[in-house]
Amino acid sequence: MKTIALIGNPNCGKTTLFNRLTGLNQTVGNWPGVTVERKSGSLRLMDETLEVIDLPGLYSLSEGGGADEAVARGYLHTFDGLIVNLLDARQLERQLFLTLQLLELGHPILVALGMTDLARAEGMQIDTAALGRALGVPVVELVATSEAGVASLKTALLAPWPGKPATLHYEEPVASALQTLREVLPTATDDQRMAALEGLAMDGAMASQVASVRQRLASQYGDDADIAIADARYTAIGQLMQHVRRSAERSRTSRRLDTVVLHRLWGLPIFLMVMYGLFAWATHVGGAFVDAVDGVADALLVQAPVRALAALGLPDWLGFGLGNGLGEGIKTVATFVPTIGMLYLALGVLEDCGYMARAAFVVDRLMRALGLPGRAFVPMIIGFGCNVPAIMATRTLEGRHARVMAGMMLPFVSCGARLPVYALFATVFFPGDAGGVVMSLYLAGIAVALATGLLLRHSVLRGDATPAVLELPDWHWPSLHSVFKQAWSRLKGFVQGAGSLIVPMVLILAFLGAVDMQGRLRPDAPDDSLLANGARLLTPAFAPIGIQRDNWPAVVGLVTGVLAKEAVAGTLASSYARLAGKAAADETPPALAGQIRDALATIPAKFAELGARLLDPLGLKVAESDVSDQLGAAEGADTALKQRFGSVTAAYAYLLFVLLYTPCVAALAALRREFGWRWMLASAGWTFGMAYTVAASYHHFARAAVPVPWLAISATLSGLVVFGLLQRERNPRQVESC
Amino acid sequence: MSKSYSLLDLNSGERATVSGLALAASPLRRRLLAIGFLPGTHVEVLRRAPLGDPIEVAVRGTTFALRREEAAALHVIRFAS
Repeated sequence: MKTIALIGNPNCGKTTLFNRLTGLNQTVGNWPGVTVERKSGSLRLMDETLEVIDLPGLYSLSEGGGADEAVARGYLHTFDGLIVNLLDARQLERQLFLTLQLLELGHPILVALGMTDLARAEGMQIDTAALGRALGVPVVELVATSEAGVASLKTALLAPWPGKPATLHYEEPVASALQTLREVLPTATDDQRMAALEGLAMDGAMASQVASVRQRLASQYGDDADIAIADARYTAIGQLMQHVRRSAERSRTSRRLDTVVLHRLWGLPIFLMVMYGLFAWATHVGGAFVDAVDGVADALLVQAPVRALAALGLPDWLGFGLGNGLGEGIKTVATFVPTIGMLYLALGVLEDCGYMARAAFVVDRLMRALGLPGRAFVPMIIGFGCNVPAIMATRTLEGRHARVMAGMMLPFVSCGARLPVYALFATVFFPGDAGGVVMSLYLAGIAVALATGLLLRHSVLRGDATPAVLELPDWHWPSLHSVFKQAWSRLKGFVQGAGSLIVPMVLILAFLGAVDMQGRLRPDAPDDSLLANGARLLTPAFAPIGIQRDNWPAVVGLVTGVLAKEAVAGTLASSYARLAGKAAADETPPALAGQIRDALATIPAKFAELGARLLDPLGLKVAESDVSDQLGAAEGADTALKQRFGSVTAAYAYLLFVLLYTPCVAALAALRREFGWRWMLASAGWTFGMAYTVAASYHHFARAAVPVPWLAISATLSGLVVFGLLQRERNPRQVESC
Repeated sequence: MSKSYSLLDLNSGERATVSGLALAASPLRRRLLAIGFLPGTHVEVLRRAPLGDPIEVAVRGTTFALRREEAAALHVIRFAS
């Protein structure tokens, strides 16, 4: 199959063009060995199918250090298709730099000139034909956001493809230095020779000869060799730009919008409002569909197979495995789809219109204290809704160090699924002070996340080769077409990538929770299951955090929490109710049709609540009313809970543990997908260790202390973090003074 | 001839010409060169971020955010006002 590789600067409209060309025939994966997103798709042209590879957005091929650049370079050197270089016509001068490097590669290349309509509107006049003649390659004008524009590219792709481009001529002294290197390095390509002249790492026998050529170039030019080369390239670009008449200034609307959005006073409040809007959109609007998806999936994937197989007289374990194992696993994946889908849509709009880069500009100073780029704020905010999409959103960060660090911090950001546990305990142990308790937990989570970030920054993830230079593109209306397609292909990537781990883990845990010590399948007696017995066995290990031997249901709750954090509160309520001797009213599940109808009815109900939810950002009131429903159904649970925990201190220590410990399988699957097994296991171990340490020290020190002792711990933790931040802040000053 | 300034010394809205890069070979240096911060290039500081850092700089028709250390490494000659 013939292949075309799409390459261009960041923000040049490449993603939109890729989406236009390939439609929904896309696959999103990773390049081998790195977490750089590898997107490929197929394009039908008459009776031929082409493969389209979307390379990472780059300013140059010789940046060095970044994974994106290594991927593009490595790929292009072995590539034998057509390179399609997309340029934003409005920034032609700067973007031709990459074009020249691509020409040095010597591969057939086609230049696609995008945004020409906008460039004309800004007063630019481009003689495309003359530009093409000067470059020695075909140049096609296109408006990436319209179908008509893409048609001209398709026509060009149908014509016979161009051959190898002519060799470029640079001005002296670069030209003669390059000529000398052609003799010294006869097998290399011009782009490798130029990279060697720029001083990029060289090995082999010729290294010293290359170094002397480079020195001669530097002395002839009168400045460093890499400046000589950049100068020669920009001089060549200057000649190319004779075919362009321009009065290109940033469009006036864009400038005016920036004076508001990036304002010294309004900048931060606007940022916070947008982030809150994003958070509310994903968790409340997206979340409004979760119960419906959950109910429908439960009816069709869990209940239906169990009943059908029972009716056919097949063995129980088969129905259980198919429904409660496999079906439940798929259901778990499905319940993440509405939130993640909505989030990807909103993120796509913010990226596409140009706000995301500006948000990064506004908060860069805050995030850099941790060594993170400004845009790392986005996943952190999303994490309060659900850690899974937040981990997926670390993809938008540049540089692997930043991605990994954000990924390791995120599990400590208290997601919405942990809230019901807090609400349950608050109702029983801290009546009247629920808000304070919950707030302290959120703060403790943030403090531990920051501490983790600082620790990583000063140990394994020290330094990062990726420069922080960030482009602020012009504002423009997002292309909804492109936003939808991108969200769709990313969502597909999540379902396939994370689903392959979530489903088997849910299946295994389901059996452990339903098989008793004699190996019989007894889903109706969860207290005798392997899981519960295992938890009982483990209970003594939790004595330091205040879980007494007879309080084993607390440990069962923790084990189920690894499956899904939202399961903890329900498990606790029903097992404490059984301890109290009063089983929760055993309700027969309604008929399938009724269940589906009820599930769908939750959507309008949730939307009706939307107004109230927006005013209750933590969702505490909703969680509290849910909990009192559960407690009402599971009579006596509250008394049992109080008795078994024994003290307020033990209860709070348990909450700290729930806040901090091992993320749920879905989050683990997302971590594995983004960062690999090693980091997933590191996160699982680190979160558990932190949870145990923090909860145990709290329990140890707080027993003797004053009431509301949780204030002490969050104060200590925040103090530590502030100290850490101050330490970080001293560093740049030192650099400045020398 | 006169005192050497860095991009960091410029006020918002001020224009200048790049005179040199005080940076050893590094990915940052290569990126700055690639996006066109060459000796002789005209630049304009548009504004500072709400927290004072980074700063927004226009070069060759595009605007970039540069952090303090990055801006400090770009030496400039101020336009006579």
